[in-house]
Parts: sequence; structure tokens; C-alpha cells
Amino acid sequence: MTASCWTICLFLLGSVTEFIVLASPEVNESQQQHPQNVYHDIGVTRNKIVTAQFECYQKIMKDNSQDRRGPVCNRTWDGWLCWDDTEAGITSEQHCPDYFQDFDPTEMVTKICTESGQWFLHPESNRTWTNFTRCNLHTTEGRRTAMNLFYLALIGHGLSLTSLFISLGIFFHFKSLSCQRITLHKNLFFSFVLNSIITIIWLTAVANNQELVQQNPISCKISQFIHLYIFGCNYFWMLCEGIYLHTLIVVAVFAEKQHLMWYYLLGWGFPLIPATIHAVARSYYYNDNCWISSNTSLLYIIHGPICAAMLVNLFFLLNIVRVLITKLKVTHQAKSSLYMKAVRATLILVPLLGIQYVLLPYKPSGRVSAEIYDYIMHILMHYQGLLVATIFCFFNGEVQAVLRRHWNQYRIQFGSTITQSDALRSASYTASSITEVQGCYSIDGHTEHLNGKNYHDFDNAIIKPENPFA
Amino acid sequence: MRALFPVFVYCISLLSTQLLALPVGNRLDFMTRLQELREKSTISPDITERSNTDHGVSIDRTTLWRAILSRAPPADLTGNQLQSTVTLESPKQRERRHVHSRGHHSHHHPQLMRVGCVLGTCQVQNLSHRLYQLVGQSGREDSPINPRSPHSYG
Repeated sequence: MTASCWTICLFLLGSVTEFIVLASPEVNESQQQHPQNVYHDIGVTRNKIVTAQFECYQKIMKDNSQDRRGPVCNRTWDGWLCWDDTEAGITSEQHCPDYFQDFDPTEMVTKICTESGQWFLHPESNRTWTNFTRCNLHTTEGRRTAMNLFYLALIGHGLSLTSLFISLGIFFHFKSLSCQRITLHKNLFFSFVLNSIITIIWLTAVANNQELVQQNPISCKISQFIHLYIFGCNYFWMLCEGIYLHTLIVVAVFAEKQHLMWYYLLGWGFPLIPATIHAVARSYYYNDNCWISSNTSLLYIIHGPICAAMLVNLFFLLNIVRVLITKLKVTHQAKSSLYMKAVRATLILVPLLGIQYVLLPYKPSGRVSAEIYDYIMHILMHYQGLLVATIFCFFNGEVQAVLRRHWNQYRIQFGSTITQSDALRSASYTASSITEVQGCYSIDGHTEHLNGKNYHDFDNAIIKPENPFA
Repeated sequence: MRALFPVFVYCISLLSTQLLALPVGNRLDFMTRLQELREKSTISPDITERSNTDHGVSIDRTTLWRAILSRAPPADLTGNQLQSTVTLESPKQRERRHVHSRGHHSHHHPQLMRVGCVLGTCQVQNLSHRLYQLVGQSGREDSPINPRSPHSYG
């Protein structure tokens, strides 16, 4: 037994020695072909190329069991990239390397294997030639676009955080605003806050930090896990808002309180499932540094359920608008006014329910259209918190009423002589009519108040044209 | 509504399970394939475990991905197969070309030639990856030779 172990060790040692001896001349020859002064310093670039070259020769030496059927271009290291055996007549492709600052790793390199089983020779130099021309064709524009989107994201999330903190402060400070709908708004706003914070941290501290990504600490992957979990919470709280509104308006469950526990489970609990599944799958299948790469289908573990939730919200929105139109017709409204109210309700609910993600689901493949799509989606995504806080808190009639009441008390207490203009009153009334569904108290009213008369009043409240959704 | 809610949550969980089914199905297959590759390998563990500077994917992970890519690609999640170059090829040749195009940086899924997640909600993931690729990696030089030159690399 011991003798067998020693024999195996000696065999492995001999194999390694032989491998090193065989590899050495090739490496030396390769270095002679490319003078040292081509690379300005022995830094990141050189290290990347030497590592890739070493791995390429390892692969070349390792695979020898392939039987040749027909002409084949031999596997090769072209100076920058490794190419496997390629059948004659095939154009081999892979992504550009990331050795150089002006190379874009999302572009493609092509190498033509001719019908005669020889790699393509450039007609001017008569040397084997790989088509790297697309690698630095659009890098400057790509970098500028990435920086623009980065600043757009930071500004958007900054504005969202400001407005969301103010909204949450208002919601928590004034107890008279406490009711089920405002509670759902609080949770949605809180998920927006967490999402904005973790997104800003991720974009500034991780994506722009090469040293951190190279070191690949466990805290880096934990932050990505948290980021994806909070990301899921944000969208599933939009789903909770959709379920609540749909239940309230379409299913007409108004006699009793809805159980908030199910909403908490869906909003804060359920997103743990895809986030955990993604973390486990990522560890097994694509365990890159900091899990920063988006070149993996594993991201659909996170974004698939999110898109399903947004589709459900789209169904809810269509159904809510249908019921709104049906009930407004009962009041004999003019058609133009009817459709105007429906359009306004739709525009108000789109950012609350996240409908924009199913209206623009896929990124187009053209370069210019993809860039336009990126800008539009980044604006819709990063400024959504600001939009939701503005519509559902600052324009909320109840919030404005409470603030106005407290301002009047403050003014009486300190004898202020500030007067409100008529324009402000008019704007307040318009905003109030937009954002109110109905008063908080009618939802939280006790059962004994629902006699025949109250039921009739409540029914009138539902179909009042001044009360679209909020 | 109270009774419908658990059914709803269950359906979403089922959807997540469906999304997970694909990798789990592949795991058993390429673990076998990975075992075969490791048996062929005569490289010592020290060299095999050497860290890779490109996205930090080690050689072992490269072997892992070769095990995945050497198999027939699974069903495409988006239902589309994008061709960067338009060529007349038989299905067999097209599949072989994807197998042959394996390389040092070809960690992308062979059926998803477009880089990154294509859904509208993936903006932050795509942006952070893009920032790291183009902006985050300092200390790199510009390319020493114009790739358009006939004397460029090959």
C-alpha cells in the first residue's frame, strides 16, 4: 500500500516535470515574438496576458484525445486569446479580452478557419490574423454611457431617498393617518428606501472598486445577496399594493379588515426564497468574484418571479380600470371626462404597481435602440421612489388636510399672519381629488356602524367621481 | 381571498422551482463529466487551484464550465438564439461551432449570445457589471497595437 502511494507520487511528479519542460520552449518562443518594450510596465495588463497564456498552454497540452475527422484548424494561442480546434469553414467567436483599458469585453472577436483547415492569413502581411477590430470600436462611447447611467442612478436614488424619508416621517408622525392602506404605503416606501441605500452602496463601493472585487471577500457576496433580496422585497411590496387595491375595488371586501400578516409574508418573506436559491446556485455554477457578472442565466432566478409579479399587477391594473369605467358610467358622466379619469388613474397606478417593467420587458438588440432603452429604463427605475412618494404622500388629500390643520394650529399658536392664496387652494383641491380613494376611517370602521344607511353612504363613496385610486 | 392567497404564493414558489429545475438537472450530468475530466488531468492540485484574475474564476471553475459547455445546450430561457454573424450553416455545424468557440473568456451561456440579462428589471446588475468592466479596473494600459493593422495578433 505504501509502495503504491509512493509510486503514484513519483508518477505525478514526473508528469509535472515533463509538462514544464515541454511548455518552456513554447513560452520562450512566444516571448521572443513579442518584444518586451511593447508593454509599458509589468502591471495589471501584463499579468492578465501571462496568466491567460499559461492557462491556454495548459489546455493545449491537456486535450489530446480528439480524433480528427476532416480538416481542422489546430488549437492555438494567438498572442491575446486561446482558440480551440475548429472545424474547417467555421468562424470561431469569443468575447474580447479585458487586458487593455480601451478593449470592451462585451464585443466579439472572430477568427476564421478556412476550408483548407488553416487559420485565416491577412492578405497584406501573410500572417495569421485574428479580428480584434471590434474590441476598441465603441469603448469610449460605452464608457461614457456607463458613467452617465451611473450618475443618473445616484441622483435618482438620492432624490428618491430624500422624498421617501420625508414621506415616512409624515406617515409615522401623524397618527391620524394610520390605516391599512397607509401601512402598506409605509412598507412599500421602506422597501424603496432600503433598495436605494443598498443600490448606492453597491454601485459606489463595489462596482467601481477593482481591489475589492479582486480580493473577493465574503462580505462582498453577502452585500450582493442583500441587494438582490431587498430588490425582490421592493417589487413584491408593489405586488402587495396591487393585491390590496384589487381586493378593495374589484372584489369589494370592505366589510372587514384584510389580514396584514399575509402581506408581510409576501412582501418581506417570500423574496428570501429566490435570493437564497440564487446564492446557492451561484456558489455552485458561476462563482465569480463578488458575483458581479451579469453574464449568467442564474439572474433569472431573481428576475423571473419579479416579472411574474409585475404581470399579475398588470392584470390587476386592467381590472381596476375596467371596474372604474363601469362604475363611473352609472353616474352618467360625459365620455370625455370618463376616459380622462381612467387615463389619469392608470398613469397614477403605473409607478405604484411597477407596470413599466412589463410594458418595456426586453432590451432591443440594436446599439442605438439599446442605449435609448437603457436611459429610459434607468430613469423609470431610479426615480420611481421619488414619483411614488410624490403621488401617494405629497399629493394625498388626507396628508394635505392633516398638514394644513397642523399648520393652522401652529399659526394660531404663534400668531402668524401668513395667508394662503387662492391658487394654492385650487391646486390642493385638484391634487386631493386625484390621490384619494376614500377616507381611512370608512375602511377601519366597526361592523356595528354598517347599518343600511351607512352601507348606502359607503356605496356612494365608492362611485363618487372625485375619488379615483390612491 | 384568504384561501386564495396561499395558492397564489404556492404558484410563485412553483415558478421559482421551475426556474431552478434547469440548473439542478444539469448538475448531476456535468458532475459526472467533471469527474471524467479530472481523471484525465495530470496537473498537480497546486497548479489547478491557481487563482484566475479574470472575474476571479479559477481554473477549476474553467474546467467546470468546460464540462457544462461540452454538453448539448439546454433549452433557451428566452426562446431566442441570437446570431452575431449571419452564416449559412446546418444545425449540426452551428452546434459544433458553439462548442468550438470555447475560450478563455467564454463564460457566457452558448444560447444567450447577447451579454447580460435582457429583462427590464436587470438594469442595476447590468450597470454594475458594465462599470466594473469599463471603469472599475484601473492600472490597465491601452492596447499596444491597432487591432486593424495587418500585423496585429493572430
